[in-house]
Amino acid sequence: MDFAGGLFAVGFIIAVVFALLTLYLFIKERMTVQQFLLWECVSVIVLISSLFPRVLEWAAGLIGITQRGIFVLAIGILGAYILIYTLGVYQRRNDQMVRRLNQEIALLRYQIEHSSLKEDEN
Amino acid sequence: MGHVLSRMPAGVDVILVDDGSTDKTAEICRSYGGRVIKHPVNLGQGAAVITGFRACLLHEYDVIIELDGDGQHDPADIPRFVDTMKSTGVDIVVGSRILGSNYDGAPYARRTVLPYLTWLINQITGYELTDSMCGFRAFRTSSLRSIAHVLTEMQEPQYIAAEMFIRFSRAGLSVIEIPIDLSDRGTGLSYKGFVRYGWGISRAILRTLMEK
Repeated sequence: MDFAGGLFAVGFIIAVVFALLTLYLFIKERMTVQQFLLWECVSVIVLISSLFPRVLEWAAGLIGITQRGIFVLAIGILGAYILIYTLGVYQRRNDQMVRRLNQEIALLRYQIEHSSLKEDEN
Repeated sequence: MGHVLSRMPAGVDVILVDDGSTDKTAEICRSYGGRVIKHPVNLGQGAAVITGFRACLLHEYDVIIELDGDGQHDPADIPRFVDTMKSTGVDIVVGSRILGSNYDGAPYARRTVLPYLTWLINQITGYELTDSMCGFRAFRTSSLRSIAHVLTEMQEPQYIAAEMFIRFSRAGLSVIEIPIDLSDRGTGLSYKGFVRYGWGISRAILRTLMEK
């Protein structure tokens, strides 16, 4: 097996393991349907690319890239950017939710404490 | 903290926002008869101010005073704030360190950045402030209550002053300044360096302006 063949074999194994892991996490309810579908799609794309390398060459040619290695790298970097951006948005939203929840908890505790003090005074 | 509470004028109710402190802040406040509202975790100065406002609005106060608990602001100045509010009829009275007599002793970062940020906030809001970042302020409760819904929307965890003034100006609230002198910070250090201070406030201004 030459270097390229070995690389595609590794790609195939990673795709299968990744697909099974995603399925396992979905069954264990640690993933939403949306996340499950997204990562299964990624697994399928990697699987097809490793089984049929010509597909990669064809896709690379569509955007004028002659080497499929560079195409894979470019797609990977683009995917990472999208992922980081999405996670940043989620993190910001979660931060706001946590802050609001903490403020509400503090205010509720204060109200409870204050009303019990009033009852004691009465 | 004890020093600040011991100088509190008679007839003033104290509500302390404990923003996840690990020392005896809450116990000291209670020992002086103050009320404590405690964040389960540290949320930042801005969030603490908003929580404090919301706690105050649960009561029927005429005026709500905001001041730092580290000794920089002298509670003995509180009657001046209240008197100014009563005599002028404004919604908010803000302390100005620049108009005070000992501003030359302020940290370099603050003296350098503050005038530019204040100028920027004045351009946006139409206010004529000299010190937009002073945390010693008095609010007419009815005015603050009228924008209670806005308070929950404020998002800035740390540098809330800029966001606050922009939102107050949108609500049509009037502001006046009075001079205050700075006291030494009793304990602790300010973490607001030159870049962090400028960037934090600029970010808050930009984000608030982009919101409808």
